[in-house]
Amino acid sequence: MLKLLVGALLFVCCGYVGYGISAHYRKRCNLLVSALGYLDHLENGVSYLQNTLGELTLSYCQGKKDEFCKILKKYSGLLEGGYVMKEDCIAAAKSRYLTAYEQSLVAEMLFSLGKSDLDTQLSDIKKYRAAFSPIEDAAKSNQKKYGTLAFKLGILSGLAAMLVVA
Amino acid sequence: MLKDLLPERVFSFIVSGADVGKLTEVRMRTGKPLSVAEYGKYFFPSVDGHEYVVTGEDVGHVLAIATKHSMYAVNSRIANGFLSCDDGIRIGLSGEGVYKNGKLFTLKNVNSLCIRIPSQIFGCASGLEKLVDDFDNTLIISPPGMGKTTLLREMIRLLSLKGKNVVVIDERNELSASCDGVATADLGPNTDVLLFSCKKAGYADAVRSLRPDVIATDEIFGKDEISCLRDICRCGVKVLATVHADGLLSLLKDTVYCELAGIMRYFVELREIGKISALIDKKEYKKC
Repeated sequence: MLKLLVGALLFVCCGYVGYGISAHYRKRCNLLVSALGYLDHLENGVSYLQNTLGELTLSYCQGKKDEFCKILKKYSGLLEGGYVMKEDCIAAAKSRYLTAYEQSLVAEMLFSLGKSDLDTQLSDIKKYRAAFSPIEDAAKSNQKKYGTLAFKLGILSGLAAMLVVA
Repeated sequence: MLKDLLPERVFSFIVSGADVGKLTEVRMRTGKPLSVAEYGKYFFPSVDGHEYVVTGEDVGHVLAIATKHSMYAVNSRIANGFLSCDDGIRIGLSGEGVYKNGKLFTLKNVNSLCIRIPSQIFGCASGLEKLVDDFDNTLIISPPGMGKTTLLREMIRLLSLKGKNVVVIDERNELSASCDGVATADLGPNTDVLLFSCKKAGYADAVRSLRPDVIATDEIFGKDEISCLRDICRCGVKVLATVHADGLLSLLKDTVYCELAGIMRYFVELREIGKISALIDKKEYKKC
């Protein structure tokens, strides 16, 4: 009976680890998809009605709960607070789903927003989209490859552990 | 409103060194002491004998708040040297001009801000009842900072209360102090506001589509605008406007602005802050 319990426990643990790794890949992928979605949203909002950055950021985050929107909500708080320093953007862009380079890219993007005329702003948005696109592609393919693999391996290793214990 | 615009340290310094309720202007020059004006009188507020030296970060903070972190939406205004806040505060800017295709495109390294705080004083047009009852083209004349805009705002309100359809061409959001497109200043029940509208286009749009009895505007500037006013009067619409000048006489001596004498009937002169020094009716050729 004890062996069965320990086996079940090992199965759950391995499955959970596999699920955790898979979720990490999924959340990272969603974050980058959301970052590109935000840039699209900005491009539309900035070029037509020229809504303010705060309004555009809040409207993008409405009803969304992904990791990038968590960063944007912090950023939105900074905008309401007054003058936004680069250090504030760096702190807001911290996420365990991004590499150090990607975090600095997000921080740089947030810091650059709203500081130039329309043409420059739109070309900056394009520049950041071009920078994020290959990262997003890589994240998507990694999620397909390793995310699913990690979950499957978790389940399999859990089963194997259960068998060994039993 | 000023509290939201200024960095906390600057605002608390002003609170300690000046009477915020009397403030009409705050001057922030990078590297220089903070200067304020109470009812038009300038001084450097000091706390314990120390003045506050304005930093580049202070100026950056005001710009960030005034533009709502959205420079792209207000660049044309920056190129014109000003920014407006939702509550009617107007910020004059000085910095380095950036030119594109031979035109001033924007300002960079903004180093000096002139923050003008609007006021609405009900009853400041007392003495001008005759003018409101029998309204005709009117020009308010005074040097800067004497309360032209405040008087104009009050006259707009009174004319609107009298049932006149007043269209306000509010190029700089000074008159209506609009927030999200809604006027926060009381301009009366029959007033329409064309906000941030280029004056030339605004005059034409107003006459063609809003059926105004009166068109009101602040700070007439240049020959083109005077020609627009002439057009409006030809259409049978009355004009209420202000202009910067020492008085009617100095206006008449100017080769461009003397044309206004042909357009306007009433001339209101302000020589001291908020005090109407003369009301001249062209038809009567005498000072009322």
